[in-house]
Amino acid sequence: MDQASDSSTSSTEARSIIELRGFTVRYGSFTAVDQASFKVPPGACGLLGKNGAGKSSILKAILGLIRPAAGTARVMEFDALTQGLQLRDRVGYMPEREASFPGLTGLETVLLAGQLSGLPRIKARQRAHEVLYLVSIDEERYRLLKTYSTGMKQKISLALALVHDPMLLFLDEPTNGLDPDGRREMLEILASLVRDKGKSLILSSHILSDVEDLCSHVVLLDQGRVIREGPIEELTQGTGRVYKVSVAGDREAFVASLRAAHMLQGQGENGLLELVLPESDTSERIFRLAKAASCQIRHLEADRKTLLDVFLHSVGATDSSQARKRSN
Amino acid sequence: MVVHDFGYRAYEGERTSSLTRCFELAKSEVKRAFKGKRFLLFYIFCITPAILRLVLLYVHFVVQGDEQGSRLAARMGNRGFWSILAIVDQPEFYFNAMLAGTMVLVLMFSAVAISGIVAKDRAENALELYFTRGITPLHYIIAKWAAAFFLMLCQLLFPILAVWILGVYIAPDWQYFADTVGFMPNLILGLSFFCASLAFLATALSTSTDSPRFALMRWFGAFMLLSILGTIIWQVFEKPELLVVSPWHVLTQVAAWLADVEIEPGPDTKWAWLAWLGMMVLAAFWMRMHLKPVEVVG
Repeated sequence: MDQASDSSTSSTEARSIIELRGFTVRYGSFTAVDQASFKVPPGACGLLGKNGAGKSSILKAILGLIRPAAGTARVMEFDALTQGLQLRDRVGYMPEREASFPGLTGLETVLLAGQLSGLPRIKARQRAHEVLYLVSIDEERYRLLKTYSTGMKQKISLALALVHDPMLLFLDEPTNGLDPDGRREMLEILASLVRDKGKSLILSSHILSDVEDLCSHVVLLDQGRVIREGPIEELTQGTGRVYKVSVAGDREAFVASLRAAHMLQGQGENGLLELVLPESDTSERIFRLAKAASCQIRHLEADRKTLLDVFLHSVGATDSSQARKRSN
Repeated sequence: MVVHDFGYRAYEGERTSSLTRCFELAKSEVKRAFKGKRFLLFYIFCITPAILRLVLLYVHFVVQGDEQGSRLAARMGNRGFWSILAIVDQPEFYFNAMLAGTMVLVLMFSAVAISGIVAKDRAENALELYFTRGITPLHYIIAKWAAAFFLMLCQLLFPILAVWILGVYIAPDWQYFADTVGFMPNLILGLSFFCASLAFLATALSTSTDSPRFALMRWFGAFMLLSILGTIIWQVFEKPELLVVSPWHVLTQVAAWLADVEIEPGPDTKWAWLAWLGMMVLAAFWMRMHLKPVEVVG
């Protein structure tokens, strides 16, 4: 490897906040995560997959709740397997299931969490109040946690993850069980943490829209394997050959000329025409065809895929490749 | 919606040591136990033997001190309840108050206060919260054991120490202090050892269930049944060493030996120590086997 590529690799590594290599988690004979390797840059990253895809297992293994069967995990400057204690002081975790310290009020719960993460008592109390204010828990903080609604418990759970000022948050299905308002509120808080407080977060979810709203990077998992990863912007980018067009003028003539050129793919919502450009052409051809059909182009946009398209396409590809393997 | 971000800022201070974190966790556990009024009343009920000892000291030093009182005492003679007055300056006066003939109270208190000390956390999925912070399972167990130990001291040692101090205070002179201060270190050692052992057993057993109620019934039932079983086979075979099947008898025998107090019936001290060691090793293995940070994975 030459010097230039060396320095480019090291700058990518410096930018990644998590790096997994050959990470494998097994429960007995069942492999929950199979040789996962990926890098996550700072900011918000989604771990996306169906139930049982291995999202929670990756989080739990990184946090030391499960011992991985193979591979390495580097989180920030820590080796997750050998520096678990130091790592856990610097990251926050919001579990998927409801979890609390029994018999405590909201404030006492957050206070104890702060102390267990190494904050001195006075600082922990001060920060507990601050973080409860951040997640909009007001006077209710003096009530026993068991009297809270699901939405409030989720907020407390987020407060527990935040109280010790972690750089990185692991959020396992943070909008689980929330009503639409609660979900929106939770996503707003999370977005503000990334935007205004410079926190990084890993959002494990099977809700595509949550990931799409919040994250800039995504790792797609299926049956314990990483099937795609990268910036959402890149993954949802189309091929550059599919366009949506609307025209004014003789639309029928334009449609006929597109058909003749084998470019028409279909007619989408709002009367937009979906067309595919041949490899050898540029978008200028569309304008030429429109002019020939006495039409004016009023709207032209390159079609982008949604995260759902990417996910379904990737899962479909995995399924068919596995089916092929099985049949062989 | 307005996202409140007033006041939340970076923390740049030092982090506390693992020992401090253990201490805070143990303190939180003890505070939580004594928060309820019902528990407080129950606690007072469980220390009635100590309160009765205080009454006896009062009778001994104040009532018997005057003429009328001494006549009454002479009439009652050295019978039944009054016979205890003859040993107010013996270690048995304190030791027996807590550990001999008070098994039900000790078991009731330990069942309510410490038998579910880990089970409660498991029921609320709290282990996932603990172990994703800067503490290890070992720190967690040390903190839980320390809390259980302190709660047992609150029932068995602190009340008796308070009674002794009050006894010294109400005694007419320093003679009572001089007579009793010699055996106090041994008594403290014996009772503390008993509390520590009981706390370890409770903490270990508690790791294997996520139902605090089941943990409570199992604790109370197992101790009672094994004690009854031990007593029956001891009576049938007339061999006191067979009492080693009863954890209660083993623990009290070891505590009595350390406190330099004679108790009957009990297994031979050597057998008691061996049984104690076996119990502790088994409890440690039990804990190792059952304490898992994650119950459900996906």
